[in-house]
Amino acid sequence: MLQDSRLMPAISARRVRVLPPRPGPPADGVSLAVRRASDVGVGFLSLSISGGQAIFDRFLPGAVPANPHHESIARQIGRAATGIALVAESQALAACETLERLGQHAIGTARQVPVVRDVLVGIDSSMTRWAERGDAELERRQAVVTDFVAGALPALVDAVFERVDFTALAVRLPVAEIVAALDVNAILEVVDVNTILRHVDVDALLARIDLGPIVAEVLTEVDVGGIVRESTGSITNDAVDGARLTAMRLDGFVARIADRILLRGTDDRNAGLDR
Amino acid sequence: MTRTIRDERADQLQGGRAGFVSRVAADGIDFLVVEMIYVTVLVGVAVVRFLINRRGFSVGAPDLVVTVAAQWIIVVLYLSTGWSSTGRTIGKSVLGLRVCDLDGRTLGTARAFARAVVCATAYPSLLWIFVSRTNAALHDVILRTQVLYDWRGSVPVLPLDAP
Repeated sequence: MLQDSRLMPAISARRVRVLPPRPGPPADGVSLAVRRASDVGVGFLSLSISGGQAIFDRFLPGAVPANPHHESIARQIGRAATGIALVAESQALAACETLERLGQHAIGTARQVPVVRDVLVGIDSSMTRWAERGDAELERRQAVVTDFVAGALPALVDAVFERVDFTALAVRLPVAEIVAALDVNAILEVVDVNTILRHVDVDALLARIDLGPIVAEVLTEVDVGGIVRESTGSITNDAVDGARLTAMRLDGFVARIADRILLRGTDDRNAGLDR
Repeated sequence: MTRTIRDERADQLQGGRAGFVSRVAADGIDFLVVEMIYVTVLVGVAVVRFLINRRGFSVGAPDLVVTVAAQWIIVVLYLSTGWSSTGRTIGKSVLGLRVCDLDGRTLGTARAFARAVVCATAYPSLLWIFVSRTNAALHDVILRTQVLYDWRGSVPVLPLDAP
């Protein structure tokens, strides 16, 4: 086995790998990415220009045209030029996509040719290694940036909070107007409070609260002894009243029996009571 | 603070004359109290004798005559003290009763003592309640007294001869 391995050159799995067929233009082609970037970029630029114009119109009242439906020739030319540029860009991107698709098709056809296929495999292998190296490097740098942001952001927020005078800010805020404008019932109809409460870890919340001083303050304010005395006295009074009431009813019962035994009409012995 | 009575009938009968069962129940409690006082006296006497003689501690068992006489004295003192002070003994306080004269005033010392003597001597005089149309016992008729329902523990009206 050792002798055989010495005679035969080592062939890595990467070299004998056969590229899978790639029919049609890839969904993540360069043209498509450029088109998306162009769409977003032009949209963003357009929004910026509109916003800028709105700002100018608002804060520079003299610049507002008398009739917005009749704009100047210069503006019309500008808008027309923009339209021409965008259409040209779209056509160019379509051409690029066609070229890319043709290129992909050509490469796919070339893979069928033995010599070209080997060359392409070599190129692809090299590109894959570089891509993997690039991915690893990007991943490392992303981790560095993530760590940097994770460390810097709290410090930045702390610095902001230290410099902002929240008291003055709160004084300037029209809290009463904001609260008056809030439709609490509408908010409560939208918000499912029970769902929120299900996500609340009450034990963890209570663990963070120092209940000792709160309980001490409550006990200071509430006369617990008085409450206990009152409730205990009430219970005792109820029990005593029950026994007294029973005796009182038996008084009447016994009196009625006595009256019957004495063969006289039953008479309420407290009938004259003015109550 | 006025005490609240939840039962409407009981509330209406406040100030009315108490019947047989309530009074007997109160007297039963008072009897237990008197017995406790008597036993306490016996134990107290035994303790004093032990402290003097320094011999074996034993609670004496007096003769029947002595027992009856001693308890009669205790009953008279106990009842007369209660009736002439607040109009209540412990038993009547538990049952919410008050002893007073026909005007609702607390008994004077002499009348309370006389009533206690009659009660302690001839307790069956209470049976006159069944005959009386006003829930009055015989000693109530003789001494012009009455026993009222008074759950709220109203402030007793002092007798005219009180100091």
